[in-house]
Amino acid sequence: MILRKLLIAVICLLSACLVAAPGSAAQGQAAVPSGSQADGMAILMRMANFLAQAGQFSFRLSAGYDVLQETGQKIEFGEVRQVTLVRPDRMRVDTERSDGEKAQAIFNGQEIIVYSPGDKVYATAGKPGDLDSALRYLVNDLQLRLPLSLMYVRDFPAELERRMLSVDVVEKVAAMDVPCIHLAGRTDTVDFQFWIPTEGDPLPRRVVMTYKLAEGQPQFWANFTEWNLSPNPPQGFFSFTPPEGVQRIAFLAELEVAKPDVKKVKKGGKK
Amino acid sequence: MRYGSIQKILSIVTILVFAMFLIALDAEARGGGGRGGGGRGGGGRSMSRGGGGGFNRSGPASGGGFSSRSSMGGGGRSYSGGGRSYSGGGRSYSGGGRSYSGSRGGQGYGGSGRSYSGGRGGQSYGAQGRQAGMGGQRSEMRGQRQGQRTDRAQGRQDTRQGRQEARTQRSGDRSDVRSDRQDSRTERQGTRQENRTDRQGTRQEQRTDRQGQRQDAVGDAYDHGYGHYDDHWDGGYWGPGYWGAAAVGAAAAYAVGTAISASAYSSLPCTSTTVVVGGVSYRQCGGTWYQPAYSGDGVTYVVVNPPPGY
Repeated sequence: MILRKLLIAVICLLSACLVAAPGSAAQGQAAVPSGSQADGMAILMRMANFLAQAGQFSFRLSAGYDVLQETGQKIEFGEVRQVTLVRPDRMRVDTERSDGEKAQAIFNGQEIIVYSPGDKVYATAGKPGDLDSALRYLVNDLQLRLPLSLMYVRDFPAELERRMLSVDVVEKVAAMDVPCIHLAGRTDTVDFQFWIPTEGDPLPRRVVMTYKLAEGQPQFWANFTEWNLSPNPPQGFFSFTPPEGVQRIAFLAELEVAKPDVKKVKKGGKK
Repeated sequence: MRYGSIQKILSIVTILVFAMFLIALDAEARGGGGRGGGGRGGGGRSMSRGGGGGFNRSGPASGGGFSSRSSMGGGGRSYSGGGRSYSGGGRSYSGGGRSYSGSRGGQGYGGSGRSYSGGRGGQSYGAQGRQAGMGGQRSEMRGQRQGQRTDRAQGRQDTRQGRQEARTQRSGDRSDVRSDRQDSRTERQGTRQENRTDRQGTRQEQRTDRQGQRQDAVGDAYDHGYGHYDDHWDGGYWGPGYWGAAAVGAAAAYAVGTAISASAYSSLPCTSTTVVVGGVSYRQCGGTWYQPAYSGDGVTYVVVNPPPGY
């Protein structure tokens, strides 16, 4: 009789173990990030904090992005940008697109100026304040394009943290100008990868973003070079005087219209 | 007889241990699988740029944002009165994101700023405050489903309790001894019933809490003291046709036109003539007048009424 009770107890114990073990393992996995994730997040946040706290910096950006065409064909376009940022309220971006079209965007603490020498036009919008608010206004309200704009605001670390679902260390990469850590992160809508140097200032060397919910999962990529943490731009670098023959135009977001009806025509084609 | 029982029990234990072994093996295999892989598909990129004519340059990836509005269904913006109203802005996992020069989301003009065009977790800020949009509707549906589930569970409990009462009554008609036994059993069952109800209630509450938290997280405004910007303010630009008319106030120093059509063209259909009237620059193509305007990273053209005197 005792033996029987003992055996029943053993069975109960084993059953309990069987039921409890997978649950506790899963709980453990959910609660504690893996070593790779903890490292990845630390490296990513170090980079974000470094950029957020820098008083000024400049770099050259060679970027490309996919655009899925109506035919289903994915086409890559490119551009080169020279970015100069001086906190709290100065920034200039000189852009050359892959088709040779050039543009300049300046924020001088009082207004945002955009200039296209090829079209001989410029536009300006008053926006007194700091760079962060100007950038949000530029991207969100004026609907201008400024890739990686998140990296230029001071709350870049908080913005990243807020959006981040996970970050992992992929590998150490030796085949770059400096040895880098390759990180892979995920947000709700974007999967991104960063290459950040293992030593020295954590200034990113490369970023790739995949818009995973968009049709065709297009990517944006950018290589960062010529980082300079004390560009000390010359006087007048952030001011703009329209050259002769250059006309001022409006921002599309300023125009008043009745109803949206988007079309596109080719140059020389029929309207 | 006794040895027979022991033998049976030993057999059961052996089977159990074997089953545990199999389950452990399976779990290990699954766990290992999660970490594996990582191989990147090779293959070179084959691309013919074809001179660039007729290809659209803008899409979800051109914005280079750390979030993507482009993948969001609806995502409409509604500008009303003095307040900005972000409506929709939810996520859509069904397609979307195709780049027809400015096909991003619908935009509502005027009105109360309410829009139901959003996907999951829509956000709406404006004079009327926060609105849940489709996210709210979905949440409501979830709530209804929960309610139905609760009702069904409650119904089952009622039925059980009813049966229990009937059984108790029937057993009460029998002998006192049986009735006592039945009473104690009923008590035990009642306790179990209560426990079960409690557990169900707790689960229900926890689920509601979790859903509420998720809803809050998705629907929260993002306010950094720069005014209300949604969670994806850097989410990218969608090309010349993405029309944000009346998004910003007209610059006082510069007269902006009123377009007769909201069509935005990335280039003109002719070699145009530039005419400046009252400080405003126009482009004339035959009898059609255009006003150039900045959008994205370039100049776009909208059809406007002829300037005064033309």
